Amino acid sequence: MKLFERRAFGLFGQIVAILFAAVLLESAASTFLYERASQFSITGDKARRLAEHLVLSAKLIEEAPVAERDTVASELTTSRYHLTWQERLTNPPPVSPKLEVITRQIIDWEPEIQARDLRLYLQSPGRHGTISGAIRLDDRSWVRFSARDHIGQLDLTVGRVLSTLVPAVALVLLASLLILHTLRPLRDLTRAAEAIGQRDFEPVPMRGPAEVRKVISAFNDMQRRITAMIADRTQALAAVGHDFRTPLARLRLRAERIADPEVGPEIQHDIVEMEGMIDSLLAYLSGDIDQPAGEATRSDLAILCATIVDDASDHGHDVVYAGPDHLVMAVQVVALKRALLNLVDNALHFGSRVEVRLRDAESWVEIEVGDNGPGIPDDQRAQALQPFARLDSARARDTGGFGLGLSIVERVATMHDGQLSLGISHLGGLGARIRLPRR
Amino acid sequence: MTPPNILMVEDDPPIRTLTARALQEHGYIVRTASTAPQMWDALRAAPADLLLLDVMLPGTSGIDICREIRKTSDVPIIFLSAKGTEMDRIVGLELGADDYIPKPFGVRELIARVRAVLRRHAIERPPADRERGILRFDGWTANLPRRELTSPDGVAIELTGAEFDLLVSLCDNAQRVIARERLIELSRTRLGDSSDRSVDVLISRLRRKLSADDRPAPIVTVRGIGYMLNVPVDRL
Repeated sequence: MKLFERRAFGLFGQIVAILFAAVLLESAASTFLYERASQFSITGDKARRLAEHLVLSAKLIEEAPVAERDTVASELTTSRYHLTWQERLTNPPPVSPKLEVITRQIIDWEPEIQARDLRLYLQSPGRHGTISGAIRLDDRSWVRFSARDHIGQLDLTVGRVLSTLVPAVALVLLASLLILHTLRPLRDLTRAAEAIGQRDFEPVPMRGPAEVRKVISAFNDMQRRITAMIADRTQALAAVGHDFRTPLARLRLRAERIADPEVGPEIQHDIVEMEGMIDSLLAYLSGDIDQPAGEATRSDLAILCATIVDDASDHGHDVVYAGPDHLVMAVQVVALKRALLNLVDNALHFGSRVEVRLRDAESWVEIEVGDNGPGIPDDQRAQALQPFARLDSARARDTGGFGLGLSIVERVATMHDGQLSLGISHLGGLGARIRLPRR
Repeated sequence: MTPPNILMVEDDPPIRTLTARALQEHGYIVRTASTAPQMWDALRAAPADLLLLDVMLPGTSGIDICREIRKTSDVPIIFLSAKGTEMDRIVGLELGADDYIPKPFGVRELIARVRAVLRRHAIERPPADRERGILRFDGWTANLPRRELTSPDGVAIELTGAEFDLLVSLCDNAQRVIARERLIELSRTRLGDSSDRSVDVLISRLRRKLSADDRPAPIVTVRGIGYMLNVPVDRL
């Protein structure tokens, strides 16, 4: 197998090699089977009857005049023994194995036959088990005979079926293993293609036939280009978002100098909204949502939820917490806090009352953020999780973000091997649930 | 008493001018620099009471400057930065900066933070005392630069900004009764837009968050006067 990995045989070469191996095995198996045929034996009784019949027939045909020998031979033919007279011996079928053991058995019983140059063959091995053969007459003409069912009745049937089946099965197994091995690099490639966009770029190992190697090489190049392109765009987008902050900072300082008591706060509000959009964009693009910044920290989730609620209610919102006082679990606390803040901000945007519920089951923990807003219709919930999602024009306006909030939450849930689901809150609006497995 | 002298290092001219003007209007003396060499020149000319340092400067980063200054001086430093992520904040604060203001910021927030940092700096002299960044009491650990609280079992406990400030005030006056009025005053200094929740509400939340199943939070009420952290505090 190592040979295949080190050198790149063509797919063609490999298939030829597989076929060659198959043919080799097949012929080895047949040779072995025919070799074994010479070792076949029959019961003593049958050997005796065959011997007697042959000696008798030979004598009767010998005594008959040449013109009548054919008739005598056909008269001597029974349902079991078929006899024909021939002036000269025709060649036996080419692949008929000789039956040496049976020949010896017959000669042992009727030694006279040895002088008659008995020849025995196995006809069509594996089927009826017919013995055919010839004996010589005194005038050098031959009597050909065949005896049906002699070997077929022997206890060799199962063994012979097995001995033909075993190589065939082994052959199929061996061939499928080889083909499987040949196709393995293609499966690697399939898996890598499926993983694009889900995890980081990992080159597919170069192995397998030359044709497959070319495909792998092209695929790796393509993957590298795609990764680089995504990275470039992400970087560009992050840089743009980042650069926006400087003019925003100027704008904010300038807005504070506007004397008009109405315009000033309105501009401030717009600036805060733009800040929120940039924050969510940068959070979405930054690696720390995708990849945990470090080890999970044991944190009190109940206090985390309560503190987020307290903060929102300190800012004048109607937000309450329902759940246990303490619940300790190892989480990525910065990411999870970000996710919960997103959910609470979202809920406050669409509803006027918000409740954060924490439920503790044996194998999972669930945090639900529910509001009394309009909710999201059933058929639009999946779409709401898409980055840059805009549900409908009425809802989309003034959402204070790029529609990245929920996709960030979903990524944080996935980071914890958990999931985000959207449903209906008992307050009547949207109920967003983060379910995290307990570890 | 002369007003505090602030040196601001910022490469964006409009932000520099606007911020300087806002600070001046609140009674501070402001000098500005747009690059690291200009800042060093200004510091040589006259010491500053506080540095406002942009993280992204042409040539040298504000973080490098901060590291350099900390070798010789204990002047309070506040970072200004467009980089608002948690990591940047922590890196800046652990290098010895006193606070971190993400851009864009409002004047109210800026003034509140400048005032709080100057105030803390005045209280916390001598300088050796500034090294402390970690408080330990009754098994609890409060990391001031990171604004993190860890329970005796090593569990991270999240507090709101106002709650954390209140806890620090209690720790600063450990085993002494603090009047409610004084606590209100102390916890208001940090943020201009700090919550207007009553101290009583904040205290009851702190108690709940600092309590475990088997033992209550180490905060006692002294009726008619105020509150007290009734355990000693170790400063590391």
